[in-house]
Amino acid sequence: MRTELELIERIEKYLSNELSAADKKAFEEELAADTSLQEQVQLQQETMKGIERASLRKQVSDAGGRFRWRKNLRNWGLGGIVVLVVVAAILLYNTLGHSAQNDSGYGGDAANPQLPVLNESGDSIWSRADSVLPAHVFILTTSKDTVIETKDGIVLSVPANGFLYADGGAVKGTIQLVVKEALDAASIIKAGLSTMSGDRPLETGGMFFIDARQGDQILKINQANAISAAIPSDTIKPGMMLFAGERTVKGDIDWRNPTQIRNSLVTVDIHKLNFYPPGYLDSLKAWEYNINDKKFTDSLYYSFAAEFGRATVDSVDSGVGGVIITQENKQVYQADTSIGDFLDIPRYDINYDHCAINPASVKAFWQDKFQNTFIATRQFEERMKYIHMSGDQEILDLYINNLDKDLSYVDSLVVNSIKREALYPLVPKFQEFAGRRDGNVKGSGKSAAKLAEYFRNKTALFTEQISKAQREFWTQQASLDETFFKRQSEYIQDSIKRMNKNFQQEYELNLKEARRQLDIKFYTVSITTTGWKNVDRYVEESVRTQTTLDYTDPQTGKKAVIRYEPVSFGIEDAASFDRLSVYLIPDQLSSYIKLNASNAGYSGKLNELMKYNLAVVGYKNDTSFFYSMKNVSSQHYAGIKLSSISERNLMQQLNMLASGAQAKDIGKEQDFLRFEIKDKRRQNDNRNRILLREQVFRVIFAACLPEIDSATK
Amino acid sequence: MTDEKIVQMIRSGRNDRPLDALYKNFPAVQKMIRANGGNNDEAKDIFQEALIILVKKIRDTDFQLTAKLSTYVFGVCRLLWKDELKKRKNFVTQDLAILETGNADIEMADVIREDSIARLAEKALDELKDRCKELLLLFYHGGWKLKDIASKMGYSSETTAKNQKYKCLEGAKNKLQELKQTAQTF
Repeated sequence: MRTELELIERIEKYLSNELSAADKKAFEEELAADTSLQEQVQLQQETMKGIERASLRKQVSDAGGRFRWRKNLRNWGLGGIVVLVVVAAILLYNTLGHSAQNDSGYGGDAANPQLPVLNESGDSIWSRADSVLPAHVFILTTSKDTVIETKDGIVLSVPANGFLYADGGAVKGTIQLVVKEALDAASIIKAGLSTMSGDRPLETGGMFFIDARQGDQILKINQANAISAAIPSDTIKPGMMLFAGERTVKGDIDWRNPTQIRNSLVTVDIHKLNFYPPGYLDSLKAWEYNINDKKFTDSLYYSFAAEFGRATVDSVDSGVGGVIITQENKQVYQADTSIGDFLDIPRYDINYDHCAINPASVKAFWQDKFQNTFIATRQFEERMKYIHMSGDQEILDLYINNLDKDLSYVDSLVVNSIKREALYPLVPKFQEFAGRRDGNVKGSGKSAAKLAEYFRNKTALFTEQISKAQREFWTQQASLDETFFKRQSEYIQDSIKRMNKNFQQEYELNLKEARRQLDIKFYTVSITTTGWKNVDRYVEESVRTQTTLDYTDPQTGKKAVIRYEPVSFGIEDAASFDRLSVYLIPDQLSSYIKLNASNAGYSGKLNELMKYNLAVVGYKNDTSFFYSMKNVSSQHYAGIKLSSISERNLMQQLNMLASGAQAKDIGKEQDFLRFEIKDKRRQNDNRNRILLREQVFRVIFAACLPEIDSATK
Repeated sequence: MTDEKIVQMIRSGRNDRPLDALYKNFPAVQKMIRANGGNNDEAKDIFQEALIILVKKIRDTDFQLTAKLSTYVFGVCRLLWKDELKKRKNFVTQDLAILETGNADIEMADVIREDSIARLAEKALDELKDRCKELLLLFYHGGWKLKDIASKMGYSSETTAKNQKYKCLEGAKNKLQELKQTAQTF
């Protein structure tokens, strides 16, 4: 490299801070001493700013291009006069050679293009256009699919193994693909290209030339792997055809052999296609759902049609995913923080019609009835992705209402129908679709009108049905939530009542015994108020804390002692039960005592004045388990093992251990616990359902989210 | 798109959609410039300059939205067009009420001044061969690797492309120096 260039490289490294610390220091010392170096650094810095500005200008001018294009689009929308023919010349040349260099013989620069000796057909005739238009030479590897965009915007999709030698053998290695293009009137005129086919004038959509060479060897295109060329156009005019150019001895090109630009389509089983919104299946898969269960994926997706049915339902009680929030169940759920968050999701008061496709309308066409239309093709499957991205129902309607037309014709209708700015970014995609010239399937058209009507009716019907089903489901869930809440609060109140009653009875029992021990006669007037109070308070405290009472009367010196002794129970596999209740049933009280679990198992205290029986009831899924023991004494009972029991038998067993009232109370509690187990399962299902719906909502309604954001701000 | 969103996207380096949105102001700017002695091409140039300046202002300074973005666009266009008319020396400010200067304009005047060297450097770049400009843009702003540039532009190797890159840079620097000297002379 020249020293001047090396200096530039060094300055560049300095400016982008890529020099090592030592080099940087050296450079800065040099810089301090050398004004001309300073000037160079400044100049280079400024040049970089210029480059940056040029890149910005390109972005701005691209935006200008898009702006003019949108304006023109509106103008064309008014016009609608369609003229004849697309002219494109595909002239195929090929050459041999085994290097990545351009040794195809094409070259030179714009002012002076160079041509190889022989043209693509192997003879030496060239036209004026050949020598005027500059060649763009692309080097590509035949083993890979390649997409090329030319300077003027022709997009060439070159499939792997797309070229053959003259003898029919496949070309390996790198080749040179040569493109010359004249897409606008100025270049066409400059190149002296005619727009005549024989003596008929043509309206041109642009002309281009393709040749492929490997060194000096002329290559052919492999018919099985044809190159597809998308020629840019402001608007798609029906009836355009592809003409092949033939050079005349006068140096002109005559356009011959017009071919319809149209691919006929092949249907595939409609149920094997994917018409879901982009990302839907991928997301479900990522969340570890079975995406091969089409029943599940369908019903989940279609359920969102309810969002589109809201206009016709009472909007007050349908939220996202149809969650119905009443004051009561909100409280219940919010006690549980994991669910409180998403139940607070606001209802989105926006119109989904312009940001998402109604799932009911997808359901309406994803049917056997559409098996013989272009709907059931890979080509439409691809478009459907972009229809989802547009979120514009009218675009989908265009396809359904034109089942008898060529797919690409509908694509061009779509291009011309797009008026909303939000959809502009999709226009190039639909233009590209239109440019593909996809036709239709055989035998389409017969029932097109009927199918379109079927689609309309079914979309409305499905929307209504799904909305109704969703609404009914969630209304029912809300009333179940309310039932649960009611029963739960009844249960809690019962428990409190029971404990108060137990306390009162045990207190009276102990008090009576304490008085007896202190030899206090109940109705004796000589007893002072203070003395009574003392005993009372100690007794009350002893019952409340379940600790031994040991009281000496200060006046008489008599003692009252009532002992409480600890008892505990270790239950085998306690954790494996959905619910486990351990009851002490005292003979002196009218209800039972429920023990709490601790590290050591279930523990409680025994009052020496009473006898206790033990009952343990557990549930796993829907099976009951039971264990009982009479006359519990103060100790640790380890390894208690429950055995399964029928519900009826359970009640009998309880009756043997306890008084009628006690057994009834326990039975009532167990009823509630069984109900709770079941209902928690339902609540859990709903919770998961809501969570999933919320996640899926974000996928399906992705395009609505910005609008939702701004609506909720 | 809201003004806030436009500012936010430009700051994160995504200019396309904001530019599309800002382009909606073009017809009005065009009208203003035509009413003040300009033609359509001049209107387009002024407008595009204004967008460049606005993007730089948003991106490179702690720009605060104190007025609508369209006000800024207009302000910059007004300033630029006034400068242009001054150069032509046939311009009487007070006659043209529509070209009244607003607060937002003053805020933008600094950026316009600071931008003048970059503008000159861009002009220098424009005087290079197209291939040179393309190469520099691809490398410095397209984020292309030299290897890819070599194959896209037909250079035999990465080294050739690198060499070429520095040659182009050298060309641009020399051009810029010339332009700066010319500017001083006037």
